Amino acid sequence: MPKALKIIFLFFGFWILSWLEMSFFSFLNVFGWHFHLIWLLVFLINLFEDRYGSLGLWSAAFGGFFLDIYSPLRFFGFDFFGTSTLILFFSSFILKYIILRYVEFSAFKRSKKV
Amino acid sequence: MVSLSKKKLVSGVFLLCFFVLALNFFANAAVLRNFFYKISYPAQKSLWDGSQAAIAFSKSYLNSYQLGQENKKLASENRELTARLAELNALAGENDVLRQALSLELKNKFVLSPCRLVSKDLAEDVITINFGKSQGAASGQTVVSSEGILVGRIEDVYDDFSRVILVSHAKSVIDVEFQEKKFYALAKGQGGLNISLDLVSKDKDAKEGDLLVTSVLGGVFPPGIPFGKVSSVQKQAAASFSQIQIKPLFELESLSQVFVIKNFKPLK
Repeated sequence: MPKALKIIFLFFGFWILSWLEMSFFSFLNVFGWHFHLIWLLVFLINLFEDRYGSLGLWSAAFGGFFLDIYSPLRFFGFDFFGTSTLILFFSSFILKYIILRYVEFSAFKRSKKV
Repeated sequence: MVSLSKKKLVSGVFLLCFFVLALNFFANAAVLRNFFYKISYPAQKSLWDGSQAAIAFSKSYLNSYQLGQENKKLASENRELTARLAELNALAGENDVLRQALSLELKNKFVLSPCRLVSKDLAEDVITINFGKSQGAASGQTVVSSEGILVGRIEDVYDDFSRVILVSHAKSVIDVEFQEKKFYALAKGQGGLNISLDLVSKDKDAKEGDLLVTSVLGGVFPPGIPFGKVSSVQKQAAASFSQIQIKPLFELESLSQVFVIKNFKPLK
């Protein structure tokens, strides 16, 4: 699949996921804990995509963007648009860095940098 | 393959930061939010209704699973319940009359605008309603359910939508009154649809099931609106105040239509 198509697919995927999260999954909890689907999916994409792939970072940016739209976080009481985007993106970045430098999944070792 | 290079990464980070800063300082994020809410409203409305139906179905399924055990328990309680049935029927009738009267009273006293609940925030006790600036929404307006029960107040207003903080939101502090016992207290939201009650001294006779209404003291909400019921009371020897937990009267799982009180202006 071409890169642009993957990114468009991610954008709409995270948009639909954010609707689900704000309706269906806002009632669903296990022992008082809610499923944060967007965070979970961003984490999984970063963990299992190609080591040198950038889809994890794209998904973090889109996921964070839609969280900022539908579930804005207040930054020291100020409605700063982009708080979730930045938090998710830099968390993703750190995760990617750790995986790239220190972690080796033999089962998912697929490609070299091109 | 989607590859990651240093040059691309740095430019990506730079672009993202620029985009975020530009949105905050040169553009209006509220307009952007309203745009996305408007596009997704039909889908979100259907999803909200679907989730309510699914929850109702799962509850009934779980109930049927426990039916055997429930049956035994109910059989042993049957005699007692039969004796109390007449009394309960009378109370239920009285409740209906009171509820209708309360609803009518609200309708006569205030200008109510109906609106629909669109979504609930996952992280906080915040809901989104399809009632915005174009319909006359303003920050601080009171939101009640169709039965006249206090739901919350409008916090952020966009063109066609508003975000409402529920009475159980961690930011929510409400002056309330014990309806029958006529003493005041301060209800503080704790998040997760939990509310606690402060400043009720131990000598006050607060009991489980006591009904609380908004008081005249706060000025944030119109007085006399039903708010919650006492769910537990704990009195510790060392503390001078009772620890009281409140259960909100509205059920978010079955809430789809709410009303905004337009002609009450909060003091702060």
